[in-house]
Amino acid sequence: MSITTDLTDRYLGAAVKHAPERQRADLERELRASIEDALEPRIDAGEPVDAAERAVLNGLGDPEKLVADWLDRPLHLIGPAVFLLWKKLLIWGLAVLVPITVVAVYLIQSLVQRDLVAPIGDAIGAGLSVAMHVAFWVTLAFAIVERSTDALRSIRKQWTVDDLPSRTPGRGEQLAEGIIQLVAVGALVFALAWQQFNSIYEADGQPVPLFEPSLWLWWWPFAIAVTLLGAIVQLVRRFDLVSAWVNLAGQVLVTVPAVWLTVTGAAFNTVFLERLRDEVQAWPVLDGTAIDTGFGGAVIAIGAILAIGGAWDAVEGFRKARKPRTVLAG
Amino acid sequence: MDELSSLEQHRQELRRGTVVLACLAQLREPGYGYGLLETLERAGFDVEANTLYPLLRRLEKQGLLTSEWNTEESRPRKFYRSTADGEAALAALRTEWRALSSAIDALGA
Repeated sequence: MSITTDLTDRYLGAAVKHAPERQRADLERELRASIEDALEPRIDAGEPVDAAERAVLNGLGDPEKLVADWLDRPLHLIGPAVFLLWKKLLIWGLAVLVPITVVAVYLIQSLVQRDLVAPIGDAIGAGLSVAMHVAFWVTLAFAIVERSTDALRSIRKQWTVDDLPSRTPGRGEQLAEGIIQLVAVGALVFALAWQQFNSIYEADGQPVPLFEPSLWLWWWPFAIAVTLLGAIVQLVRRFDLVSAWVNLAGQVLVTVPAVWLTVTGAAFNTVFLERLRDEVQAWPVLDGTAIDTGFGGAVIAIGAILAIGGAWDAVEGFRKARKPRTVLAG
Repeated sequence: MDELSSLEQHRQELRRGTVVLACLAQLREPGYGYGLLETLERAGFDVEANTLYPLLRRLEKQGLLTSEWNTEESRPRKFYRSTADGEAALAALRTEWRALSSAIDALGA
């Protein structure tokens, strides 16, 4: 009775496979009738059965797509309703979690392994793995939301003008930032000079500075000069890409050695540390290991704060440079 | 070439909504998938089978159409017919269509 062949059966099989069990029989029956209806006039007109069948099935197209349309299923992972939110969350997740992981893993591993090169690989590996986790889980959550009508409705937010990004930071803001940097440099120089001549410990009648005195030969002049230069660039330029790159270069030149000096302990005066250690050890509750762990933890914490602060400042420079400029009419 | 295909895209977009209107109008009398496809083609609606069949299901899910299997003939077919809601939707769409049509004419004049 049926005029169709194996090809139609295969097409129907491929189609209903994607439908829920209880809808399959109905769907297959209706689709088969439609195919046969389309075949009949072609065969009556003298077209060979297999050629007619091919033409009709090709006309219907990919069975999986047909059934998806039929059942009103989305043919995309994340649709336009939530795409922008997905993108924003993904970028934020990556921008926040990946740098923190890389820096933290590097600092901890360099301390544990007592090596500065090998931990680079560990840090990059950990960063990649965090990036993949963030991308996967955020996307999975949004793909589920996309397929749940209620969730989709609740997450949708009407855009209003309040969501517009704020205007380009003005000249005043830029000046303020430059001045804050200048004040910070001044305070740093003062604090460094002060600690050189005032200390809680004395040796041979001379104060024992907290920081390693030989750093005055190269590190402090270098760091002060670079920071000063950065502050001046902030003062004379608007927030633009040039000032962002100068800021990034300054951060790299100062922060990387600063973190290294801190984490390796090279920044600190050994005499000062020994005196401090002796004093703490006199305290009966603490043993040697506890003190070492405490020092190690404090050093990592300072290094992490320096690194994250520097990275944040560098990124902030680019973010400000990217803000839209106010277009003046006329 | 590009100009032609973008024109074709605009035409398709313009027609998309009219298929719903045509289906609701035609299915005041019961009809089945392929039969409706033929009728619409003859009436000048150039609609594809893989667009029409899913559309019928969707309209049924929205309550604008209702369906029933007819097994009296040699080939069992699913017949669709518009509901009261479907009638109301048809009237609303028709009004919209006329309003648009006269608005477009007014623009051109």
